[in-house]
Amino acid sequence: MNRGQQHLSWSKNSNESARNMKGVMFTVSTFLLLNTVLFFSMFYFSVSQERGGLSFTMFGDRHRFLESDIAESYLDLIDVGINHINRSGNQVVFNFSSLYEVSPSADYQSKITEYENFLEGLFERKTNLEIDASLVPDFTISPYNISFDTEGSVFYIYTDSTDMVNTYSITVQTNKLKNESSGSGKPGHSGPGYQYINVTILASDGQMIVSDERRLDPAQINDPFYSDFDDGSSINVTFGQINGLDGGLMVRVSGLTATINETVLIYNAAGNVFLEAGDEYSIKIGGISHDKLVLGFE
Amino acid sequence: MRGYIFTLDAILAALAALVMITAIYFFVSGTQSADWSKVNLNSQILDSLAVLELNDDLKNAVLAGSNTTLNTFLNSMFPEPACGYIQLRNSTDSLHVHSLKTGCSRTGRDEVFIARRTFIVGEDIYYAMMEGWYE
Repeated sequence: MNRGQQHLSWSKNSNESARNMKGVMFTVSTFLLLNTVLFFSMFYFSVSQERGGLSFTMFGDRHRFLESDIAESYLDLIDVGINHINRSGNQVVFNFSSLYEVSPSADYQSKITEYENFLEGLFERKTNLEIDASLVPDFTISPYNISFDTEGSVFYIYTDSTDMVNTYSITVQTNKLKNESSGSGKPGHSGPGYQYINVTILASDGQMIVSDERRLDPAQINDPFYSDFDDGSSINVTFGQINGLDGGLMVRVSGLTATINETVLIYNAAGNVFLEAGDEYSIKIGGISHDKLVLGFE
Repeated sequence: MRGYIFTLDAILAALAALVMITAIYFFVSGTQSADWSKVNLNSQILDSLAVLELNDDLKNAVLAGSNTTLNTFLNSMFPEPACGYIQLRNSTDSLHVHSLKTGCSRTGRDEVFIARRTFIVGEDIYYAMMEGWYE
């Protein structure tokens, strides 16, 4: 092989090597590009699978929305307003802005029943949800089952754990004027260490008729804080043993209407507290049954 | 001999490409596309009704027999480019107050999200119905 032939062979090998290199580069870049697309599609697929729960989440949103809707309307129907639920250590303060109207003509069960019928009738048809409601106009604070109940001219608060509630403060506004009051009174002290009870009875124009505080034995039948009026009507607020149960608080009216305004309960509870509709509550939405309607929580 | 190697190489490359393209097709076709703007709109109308009730705007609109507060809400608080329409009806389904966001039309809508919420005025039961859509 002469020099010319050698040069030609070298040049030929060099070209072939460059072509091979280009081929390898093409293969590698194609492989990388396809891999990129593959990984991207795998990622998109996995994200999409996570979104698969979306319809369920939206159903859950709708469910929770309806429950909060019912809770809100329920509180409005029974005239209950919550200012705040605060905690300081183990002590929880429940502050209500309103609590029922106490009157011989008050009939919360009828209002609740009308609402139930509305939910199960027109509202069910409109929303295309299966709603089966059974509501009662009383509610409880958990834990310790502090129950709030009303029967026309009487309002009760009971608790399963008397010792845990250390303060009741209640303000009741009557539909009477102060100068119509013929007399008022309060119970005697039971002694230090007992529950602190603060009662204010207001006239219709906001003037104070009774405002006093006492420490009362929850196991005793105590005298009431009361106010009598010229027309024979009266209002009593009693704490102690009521209807055989210790630690009850009762507001009873005769011949007048009273609205329970600000009410504060302070009690000891280590765990989370919440407010729920009474024991007989049940609601079925879209085939799923719930027996708790949470009205508020800390 | 070179020809065989070239052919074999080409077949292997084609096979590899086919496998990858098939895998990509599998993953892409298995995805479910979700339109988040629609999900957001659904949440927005649910939240809007809750806010209107908690602010007593629904109650006040019924008491005043006026849609002013609802108009203000839809035009200032309900985000563009969403459209909204609110009706307030009583327990016998009679229309009391309604409001349509300015610049929106209820005709020719593609997809409409609807939410309803009950509320109490005095002792009377009402419900609000809100429609949301994109124009």
